[in-house]
Amino acid sequence: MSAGEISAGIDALSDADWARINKVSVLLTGCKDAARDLRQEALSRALGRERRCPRDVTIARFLCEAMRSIVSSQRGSDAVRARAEMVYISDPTSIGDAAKTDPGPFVALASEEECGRIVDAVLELFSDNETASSVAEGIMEGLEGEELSEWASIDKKQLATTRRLVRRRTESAFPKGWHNGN
Amino acid sequence: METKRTNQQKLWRLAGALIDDVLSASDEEILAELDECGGLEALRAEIAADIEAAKGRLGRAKLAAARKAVAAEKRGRTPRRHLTPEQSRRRLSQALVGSPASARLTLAARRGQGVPDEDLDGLVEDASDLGINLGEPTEDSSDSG
Repeated sequence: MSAGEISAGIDALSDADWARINKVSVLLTGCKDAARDLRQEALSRALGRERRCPRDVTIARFLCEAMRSIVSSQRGSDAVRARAEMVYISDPTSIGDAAKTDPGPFVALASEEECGRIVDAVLELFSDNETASSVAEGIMEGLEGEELSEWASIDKKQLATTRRLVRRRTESAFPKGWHNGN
Repeated sequence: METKRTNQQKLWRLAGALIDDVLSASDEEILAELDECGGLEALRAEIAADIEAAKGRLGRAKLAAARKAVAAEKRGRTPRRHLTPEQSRRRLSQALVGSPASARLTLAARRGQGVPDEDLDGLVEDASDLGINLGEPTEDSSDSG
């Protein structure tokens, strides 16, 4: 997409698109302030065409994946980074550039101990729902798709419903992000 | 399940899954959840501020890149070793003899005479821009003035 098309696409984003972008930025950073910085960085890179948006990807999705890629680069999480690269980033070198330009500390520097407390708090949200608890735990252990269904002993449709429940409860419990002292 | 995940990894994986869910949720579902994010008007105000800040960020990045490019160009044009004024005059004069590009320089420059010392560096750069190779200065005594 040209710079003009990207700019027009950003102007045309719907309220739902912006709500998604907002949610994704908070989930990625775990902190409202860092989330704002991350959104601005992703928008800036998109407007500056530092990241190329393929025509078959919506601007909202592109921005969300750009944010995920920026944070992933900082974290050095090769698996997630590779996925974002393969699916959404037409110019893979831009990922490396992102890391080189050091956009800032988007990832909250939470200690392992603090993360442990958050993990416990998240799992506690589902103390009344064994299935949701299993799904949350399975996700944290890296399970996806069929493996996750088997782990939680539910079918694909139930998994989708339960994943939504996990998201809804988690977002409600940590509306400003889980590193934001909710 | 054999590899023990750190708590940081666990949170990152959970965030990834929740993001996938956000991206696959319908517009109606996402909009219905907006109240928890402070409502539609707050979101719109925040996004407008984000876009303005992003444009400012982009402008600053472009300015920094332009400054860097100018600095790099200047570095590339600076002779690696500094010539004395006499060396510069001699090199300019010799290099310009018979050169078609010399017509684009002033008479004083072609002769290498009457040029103030402080202008010589600029002339060397001009000649370099015109594709005239002045060569590298050596410790040769013939170049010592």
